[in-house]
Amino acid sequence: MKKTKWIVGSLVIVAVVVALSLLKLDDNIVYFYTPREVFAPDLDVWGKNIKIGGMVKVGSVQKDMADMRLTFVMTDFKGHDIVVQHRGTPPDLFKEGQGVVTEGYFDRTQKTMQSHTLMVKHSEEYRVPHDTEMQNKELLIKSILGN
Amino acid sequence: MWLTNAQGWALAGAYVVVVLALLSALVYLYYERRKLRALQQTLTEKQHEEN
Amino acid sequence: MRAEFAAWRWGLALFALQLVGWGWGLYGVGTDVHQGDVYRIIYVHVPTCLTAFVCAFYLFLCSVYALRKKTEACLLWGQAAAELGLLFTVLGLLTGSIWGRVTWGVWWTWDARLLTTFILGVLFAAYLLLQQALPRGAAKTKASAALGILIFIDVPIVYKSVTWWRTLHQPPSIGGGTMSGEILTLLLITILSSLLFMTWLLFARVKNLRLQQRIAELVSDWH
Repeated sequence: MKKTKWIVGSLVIVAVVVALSLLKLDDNIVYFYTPREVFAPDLDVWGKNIKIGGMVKVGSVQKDMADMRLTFVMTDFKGHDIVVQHRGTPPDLFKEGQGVVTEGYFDRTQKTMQSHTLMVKHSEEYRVPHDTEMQNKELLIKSILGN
Repeated sequence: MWLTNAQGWALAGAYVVVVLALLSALVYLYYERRKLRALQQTLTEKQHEEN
Repeated sequence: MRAEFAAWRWGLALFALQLVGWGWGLYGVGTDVHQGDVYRIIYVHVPTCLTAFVCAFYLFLCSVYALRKKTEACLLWGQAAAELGLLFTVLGLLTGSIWGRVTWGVWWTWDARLLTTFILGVLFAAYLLLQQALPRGAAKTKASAALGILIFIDVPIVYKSVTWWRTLHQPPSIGGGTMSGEILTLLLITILSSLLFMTWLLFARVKNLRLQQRIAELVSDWH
């Protein structure tokens, strides 16, 4: 039956897709490094495209409108600061004090990150404005730096 | 509601996709049932004719 | 026939119930201080994802039943559950992608949550392909049941992925005490109404599949 060939072929493709996905999972199980982790000397990051997650240091954001260049400091509040340079406009939710994940190339000696992809990582908190409970900043920090 | 242009499109888009998809599922099932019932009717009539 | 769950009035009523919930989600409930009004996607995104999980659970029940009773009576329910599972997984991924583009800044990324959810969708598709590929019989029933159980194993992995591993997707909000009361309440209501509507779709689709089967039998009897 001709139909069976197509179906079996599709199942094979499905099996391949699942296998590739699981391999990808192995790569991305550690989705990003923390600033402390990338400064560890035994971690080989030279020339490698990696992701680093941290918090945007308040007062560190600089926008160069002419060049479309964004510079800011990513920190873990424990002294591991990285100067991130990113070309292009950041996501809407990007701001000082926000959680971010940058993807690009990290220079350990210069403590800089050339980022080609800038993502915002937000916490699991959803609060209406008139909710009297304090907004939980610790949640955000924990979700990025705690795991 | 305070939304940027992009956020507005995102919100509207997400809801439209879901509402349309679920509505389509409902409508699809309706027309499928009609077609099947008609087919069942035709076949049972034919069977009675044969008998 | 006396009023049964697969009747159209139930489908329309449960669909309408969802619309009411979503209307409130768009215009009634308060905004979020972190994301602003775009957070309201939550009322379609979370329900579709959780509904996909429950589809996997229905499929799991069918599969276990089929293996224990050695019957193919449940295969129609399995077919319908897998179809709905695929539909709701796709809707969950689409709404999530749209939401992610605006909040995270990317349409997609291969973190553990998105990847395991993607695999869930692929597995549902594989189940449906399997139904088409194999002829009726014990082999088909057993293979389908095995896959149905495997699919359900992915569900806790998807759910726990944000806790077990470091991901872009944030940890679960429900049960963590991280939502304002009115947001959580509406979210639970929209989840419940989504589950109810999906269950109706399931009954309605099975009714159609049974009709289809009866017609096939009529045709083969006739010849």
